[in-house]
Amino acid sequence: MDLGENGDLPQSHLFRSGDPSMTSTIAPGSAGVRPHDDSDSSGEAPNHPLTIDCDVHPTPHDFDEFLSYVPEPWRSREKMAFSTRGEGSSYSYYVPGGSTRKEAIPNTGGPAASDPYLTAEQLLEGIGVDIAILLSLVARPVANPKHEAALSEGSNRWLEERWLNGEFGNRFRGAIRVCADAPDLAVAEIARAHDASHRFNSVLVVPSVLKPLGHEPYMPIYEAAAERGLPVVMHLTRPAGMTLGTPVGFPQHFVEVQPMYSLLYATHLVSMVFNGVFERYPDLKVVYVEGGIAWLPSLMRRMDRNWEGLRSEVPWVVKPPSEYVAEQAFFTTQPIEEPLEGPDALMEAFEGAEHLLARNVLFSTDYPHWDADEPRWVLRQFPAEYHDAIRGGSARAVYKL
Amino acid sequence: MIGRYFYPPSIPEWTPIGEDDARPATSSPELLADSWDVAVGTDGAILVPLTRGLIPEPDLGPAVCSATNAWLRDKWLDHSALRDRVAGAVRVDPEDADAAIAELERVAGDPRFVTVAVPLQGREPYGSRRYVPVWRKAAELGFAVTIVADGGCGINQFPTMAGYCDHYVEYNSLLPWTAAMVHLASFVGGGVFEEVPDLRVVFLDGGADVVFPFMWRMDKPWRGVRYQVPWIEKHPTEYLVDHVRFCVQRAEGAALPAASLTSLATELTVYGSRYPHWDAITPAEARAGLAPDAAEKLLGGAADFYGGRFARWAAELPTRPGLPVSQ
Amino acid sequence: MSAPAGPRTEHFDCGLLADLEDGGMTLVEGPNGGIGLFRRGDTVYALRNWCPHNGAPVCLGPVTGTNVSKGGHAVEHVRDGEILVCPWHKWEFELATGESITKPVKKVETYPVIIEDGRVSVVVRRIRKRRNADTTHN
Repeated sequence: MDLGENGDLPQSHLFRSGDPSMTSTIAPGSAGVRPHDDSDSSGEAPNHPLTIDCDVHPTPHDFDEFLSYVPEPWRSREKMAFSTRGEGSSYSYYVPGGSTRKEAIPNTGGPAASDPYLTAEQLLEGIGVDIAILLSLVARPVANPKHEAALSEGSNRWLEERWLNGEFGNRFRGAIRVCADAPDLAVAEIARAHDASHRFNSVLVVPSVLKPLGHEPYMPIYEAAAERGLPVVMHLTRPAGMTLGTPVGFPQHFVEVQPMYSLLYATHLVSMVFNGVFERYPDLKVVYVEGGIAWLPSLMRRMDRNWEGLRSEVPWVVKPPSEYVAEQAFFTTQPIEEPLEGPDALMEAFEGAEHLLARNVLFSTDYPHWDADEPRWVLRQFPAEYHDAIRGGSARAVYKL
Repeated sequence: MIGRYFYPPSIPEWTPIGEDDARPATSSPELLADSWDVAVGTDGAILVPLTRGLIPEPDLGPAVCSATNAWLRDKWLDHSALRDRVAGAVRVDPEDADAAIAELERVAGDPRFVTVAVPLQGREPYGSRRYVPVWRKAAELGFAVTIVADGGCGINQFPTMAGYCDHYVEYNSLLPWTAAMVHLASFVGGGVFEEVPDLRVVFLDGGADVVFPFMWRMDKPWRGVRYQVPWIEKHPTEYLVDHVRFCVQRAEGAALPAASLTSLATELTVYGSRYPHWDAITPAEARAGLAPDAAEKLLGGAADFYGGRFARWAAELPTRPGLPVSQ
Repeated sequence: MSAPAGPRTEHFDCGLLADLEDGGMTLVEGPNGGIGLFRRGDTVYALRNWCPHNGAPVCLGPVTGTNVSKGGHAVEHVRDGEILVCPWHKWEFELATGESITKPVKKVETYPVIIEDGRVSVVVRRIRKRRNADTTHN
């Protein structure tokens, strides 16, 4: 969420003075975006290859709009104290110059991606996305898991009413935000939200946690998700005051930190493999969003090699780790790696692991963020034989679209 | 006696002396010398003593390092059976820049100390500004900086990006390379390679297999957020070949670790066994699957990168007869 | 400066100089896509609204200065008003030349500008529209 992004912060060489009056030259409006045949009811999917965007961040028009969906007693508490209002501004590795595209800011006064019409025009029509998976990050990680669980419920209720049930609802799907550190509440929320709307098609876990996510207390969440056929989606955020560190302390600059999303997801992937999450729940799928893809083959080899020598420690892992990953772990493309040496260098990283490109790599934009991707640029990095799968074929299988 | 390392592997951590003697095979210079051709199998080796981690007491850390260096020199580098084939890493505590600089100056006259070693599990990423004087002095005195996994008895940050993992197999699948990547990003992000153009860094515990996938993700935002960090003068990946190397690791490949690395990554590898660690890699394992000239470069090319004192030592190194590969 | 229209180029009329926002950016629809007109007093820079990186509407970005290193971590802010920052990945381009300030140099396409009798026109190439021409960011 980008409420309060940048505007309150002092001018110095660290901050680029943008033009706050610059708004989109694309007029908002319903602009003739035609909904698809509703594949929810008919079960019939269109024939052409779909473009499925696995990472889109809608935002409330303002904080109070969001707050109206948060259950008590937290709604009242948020008004006077305990507030996460304006939490989007922080010193915690902010993106210099702002984290959203200027043209995604609507003329309605809200932040980027707060207007479904403009989003539909830019994303569904302009970029050509057929179905977008909406990941709302408005519920910030907070120290008290019950508080975060309440914000999560508010986020889900808001998403359902304002986006999934809106005019373009049949082009949107949503992830059910839960607080991993309140597993009982998470399980209840998964049931509540999924029963309320089957346009919720996944469970969003924000990995601001202090034990890797394969840890035993998180298992009920995976069980609940797997039972309902919902993939678990992992997407990080950088909450003020709760920034995760690294094994060697805190980096200093944003440019050092963005590559490190890969390290965080690798940590949770390794944990889930070696704690037997994938073995225990063979129907569970986990989607790691915005962490990159090129590091995956190396990590799979490393896990396999270590497992060969250290199997006695984790006897419940009965297959090579790389097999679990290939079966049950998925990774979104944005921000797609662009080696200076060209796409061949990226393909070399996948040598011996090309099967991942046909199945485990899912296109995403990360709309409306500054480094969002579009399909034509992303697909340039891959051989043509994988295009349909990456563009949306693999995501269709994961999300059963 | 240092207590147990806090993430003990489920199998013996090091190659033992023998079936009846669980002490590490490098417990004595005589043993090492006797088993050299089979266990080590190179013309020369750098001895990297461990100090087992960050010591919070400000004076104790540098003192332990000095004592370690003196012990290494007296018991190992001076030993008649090893003198013709070993050199040493000088330990410094990067937390005390003044003490570290003093230690480097103290040993500078001894050509058998050929590299500086600091722990991988640092308190802060090593590109942070307060460490730069240490790197500057190291480069000035002709030392490359060796970063070696060495923690667990003192204080530590959490070993993963999300707290404590439960199992050693997770730890070993994550810490060596994730910590290396954070340090590397920090060296670049802090402009250290610009400020100390002769600085060379070697990560003893690997990372070559992920360094380009990781650093591509730093290249990409750099062009856009460059103005916040204008001391970074070029793409982060463009610093690698001049400043960074990784020891090839047994865990980093399929059956043939070095051969499974990409062409870009291969250029950044050097050979180091980490003997007597349980997953040490022998020269034969390291060179498996490589073409002969690539194998030569891997096993013998370290001197070209380290330069300085290491290169002078390597140049004097006699070739050991009867080894399958030469240095 | 004036450049007569040749067999491969045409003059595209952009209206009155007085109508262009001085100090700002006015977007016009050229024959080959959007063109951003940046008027600075009596000078006008014309840049194609298409970033050479990933095709962003680059002219929508802010025009600012940039920072350079003075050695170590000392930083100087320079070239205020000369740098166009792409709103997507924030690449920095010189407004006057369209060239990126980082290497390898990538260039936003620029057009020669003719100002005569208070009217502004730009010299554009006469290109047959390709079937897949990008019209996303007109």
